[in-house]
Amino acid sequence: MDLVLETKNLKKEYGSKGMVFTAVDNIDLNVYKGEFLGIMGPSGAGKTTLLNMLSTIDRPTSGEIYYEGKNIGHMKNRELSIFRRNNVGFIFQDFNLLDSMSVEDNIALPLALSKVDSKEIKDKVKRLSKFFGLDDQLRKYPYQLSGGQKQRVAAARALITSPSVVFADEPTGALDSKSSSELLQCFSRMNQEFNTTVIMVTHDAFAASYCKRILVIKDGKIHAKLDKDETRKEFFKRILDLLASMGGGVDELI
Amino acid sequence: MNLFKIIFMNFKQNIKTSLLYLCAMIFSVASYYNFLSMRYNPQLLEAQEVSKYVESASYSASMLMIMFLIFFIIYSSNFFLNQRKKEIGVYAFMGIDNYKMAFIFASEGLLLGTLSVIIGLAIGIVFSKLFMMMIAKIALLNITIEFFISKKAVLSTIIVYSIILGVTFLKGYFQVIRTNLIDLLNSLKKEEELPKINYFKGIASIAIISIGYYIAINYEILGFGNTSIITILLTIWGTYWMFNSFFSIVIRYLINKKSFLYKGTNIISISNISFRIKNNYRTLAAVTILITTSITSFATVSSLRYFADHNHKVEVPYTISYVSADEDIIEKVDNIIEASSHNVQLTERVNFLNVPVVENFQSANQVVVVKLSDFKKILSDLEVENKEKIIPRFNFSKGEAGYVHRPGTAISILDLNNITIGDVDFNIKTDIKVPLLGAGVPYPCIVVDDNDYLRLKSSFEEKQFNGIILDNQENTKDLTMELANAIPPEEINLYTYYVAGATFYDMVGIVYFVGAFLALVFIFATGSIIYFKILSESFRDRNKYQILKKVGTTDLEISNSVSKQVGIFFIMPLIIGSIHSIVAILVLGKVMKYSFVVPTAISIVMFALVYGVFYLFTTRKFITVVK
Repeated sequence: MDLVLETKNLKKEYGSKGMVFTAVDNIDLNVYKGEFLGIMGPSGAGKTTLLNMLSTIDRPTSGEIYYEGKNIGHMKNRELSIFRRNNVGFIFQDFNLLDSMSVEDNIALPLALSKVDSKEIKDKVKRLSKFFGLDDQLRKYPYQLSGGQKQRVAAARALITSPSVVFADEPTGALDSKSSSELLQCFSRMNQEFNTTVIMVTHDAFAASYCKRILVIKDGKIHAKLDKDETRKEFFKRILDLLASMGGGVDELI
Repeated sequence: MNLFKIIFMNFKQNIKTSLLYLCAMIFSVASYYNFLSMRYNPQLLEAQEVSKYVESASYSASMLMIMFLIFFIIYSSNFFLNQRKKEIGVYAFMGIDNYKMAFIFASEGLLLGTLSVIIGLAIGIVFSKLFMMMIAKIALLNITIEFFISKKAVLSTIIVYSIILGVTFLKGYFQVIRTNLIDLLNSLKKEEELPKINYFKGIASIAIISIGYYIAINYEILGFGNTSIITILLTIWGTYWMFNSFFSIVIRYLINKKSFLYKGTNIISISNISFRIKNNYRTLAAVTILITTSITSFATVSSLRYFADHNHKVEVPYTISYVSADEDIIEKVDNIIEASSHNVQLTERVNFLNVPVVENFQSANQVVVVKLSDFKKILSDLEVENKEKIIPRFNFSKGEAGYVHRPGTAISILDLNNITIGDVDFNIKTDIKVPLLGAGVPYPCIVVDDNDYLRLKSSFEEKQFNGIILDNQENTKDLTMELANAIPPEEINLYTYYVAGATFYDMVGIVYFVGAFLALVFIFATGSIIYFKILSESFRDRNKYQILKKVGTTDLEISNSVSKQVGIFFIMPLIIGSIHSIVAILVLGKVMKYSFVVPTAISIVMFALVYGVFYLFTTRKFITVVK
């Protein structure tokens, strides 16, 4: 299997001398092509910090990140922005769609910025909107959509550049349970059909049960790893057991 | 913490945002004071030649400024209030009642206004001497301006501004009292919706403006007075609808044209604009009207000056001119000039024929005839512009003549091909308006071949024209008086630089100065209005640009997209305002039968340059906000 993303001794510290807080502490991570990785952990464990560094939004204090063998630590801000646009897809908890653009323009945005031919963009938008069941919403604006639809638009936007990795930060956080499971099924299908690598941060054991592999982080370190080799329901139970064993966290995590 | 401390603290915190407003206000107070004190200045009042013009220019300029200021102050105080609604909401949350809050926020505007009046007056007074000296210089007045504080002007500036500020204070006060908490807290969060497109209004707006233009250009149909009112109303109406609907239609078209939209940052700027039109079209239309006003007023005064300058050369080519062949008189004049402080730079003595009545000639009932060789000599002596091109046009054979228009004519169209002088028919080969004898001989001049001149000489009275150019022509008042005392001026058609200047040109100079200054105040305030409006947009857009950055938009692309977005908001009013003013000046040119292409172009370019500085300033500020 191809290694898509690799980190070595990844570390992030906040604060200044004497008051240093280590949010991410020497994490080594390998992510392979076509993986669907879940990152879990209690609040303050460093999940989002890790995700931000992996997705190039934030820079580590020390340690390296390799994308398909390439070290991105040396890139300048501008290079990094373009790298991000072409290689990384994002799905956020609060959708982060642009209110002033129609659904099709929102999906097309990353390619439009890269000045890809408009015909090609239109074709891609059409294909992806079909996949996510958004055919009828293309002309609408975000304020006319439901939460689930918005998140699917965000997913389509994340996929349009055919990125090597899609990051999802609590994607179901703002959704009701029905929309949540629809979206997660979408993610699973997308992971299988396009062989997209997905890294998802979540609080929610139910959402995590859709992943193929789970890392639990606590105090900035990898606390446990889980691999899925059974049905989703059984996996869900195992996740709950693990969380329970971490003590006291279950209520908070469900 | 007491109320005044809160007011003062707020004021200190917001001084940066309101710095531009403060500058614009200070500048306008200073200008207002100077326009006003112009008519009270003792030295200017003593200069009787211009006191009448100074007074009327002062009145009209200060009136215009008041009207404009009311608009500007009300507009900006609304902007500040909207800007801070959320903050007001927080105070309300903490349990400060509406009345106190209204007092706090309205007082801030009052404090800002008071400060600008005080500083503005101080600056105005300090620079008043300079201002008056400039006016005196332009009006060619040889007077010394002394430092002078006009109590009347100070008092009326304070009164006028107090009234305006008081009214805006009350307006702001009641506005805050009437708001409720939930609106305040939600004011910035309000979700925007895509504005609906109204095709009828969009197309009608073009039609309305076109009708306005048509009426203006064909002003004979309705008469000049009616025309100007109807045109102004139609243009304002059309401009509002244009920004409301026509602009939306264009933007929507661009949004649907994906080959354009999906090209780099277009997608960001155009989409943002499409959502902002609803919020902005009133400002854009108002800015367009202001731009039209300031370009038109500046272009009008510079056209007037341009017109006057051009005529001045034709009318007053010599410092002193008179008509006489009498040796005694010539000697007398020469002696007087010799005794004066001036030095002679050129003396031109030319003979001409006086032809009292010319048959079938409508343009004038009297002409003079000049030899071709003399004509060429004068042209080269006076170093007339383009003389190399003009002289070949006057290469004629027997029976042909050239026509030089009467100095001071506005119309330069000749309606005849032949002229009969005495019993000789001349074929008019060319006509032109050049400096020749000046307004001292206020008749059209026929230039004929030297041989023809000899033939005519016997039938008409020959006279001698004397033109003298001196250095330091501005100070020829005393010399003129002396000459007039020595020789009766009517007898010799005495005409001097001073005589010409004391009439029309002084007024043009003052009007030009005041007009240009007013235009400057207008530009400044127009720029501030659009700056405030776009800045308030930037706070709403901050979120969007944050998202864009996460999605992988580079800083350069963000700057590009901001420049485009702000640029479109700046350039639309400029383009439409320029078109409006071009039409207005076209009509002025038609009325005065003169082409004002040059001054209009200069005005537009000058305005665009100053406006461009505001654009750069706004874009930079916008980028720092969204980054």
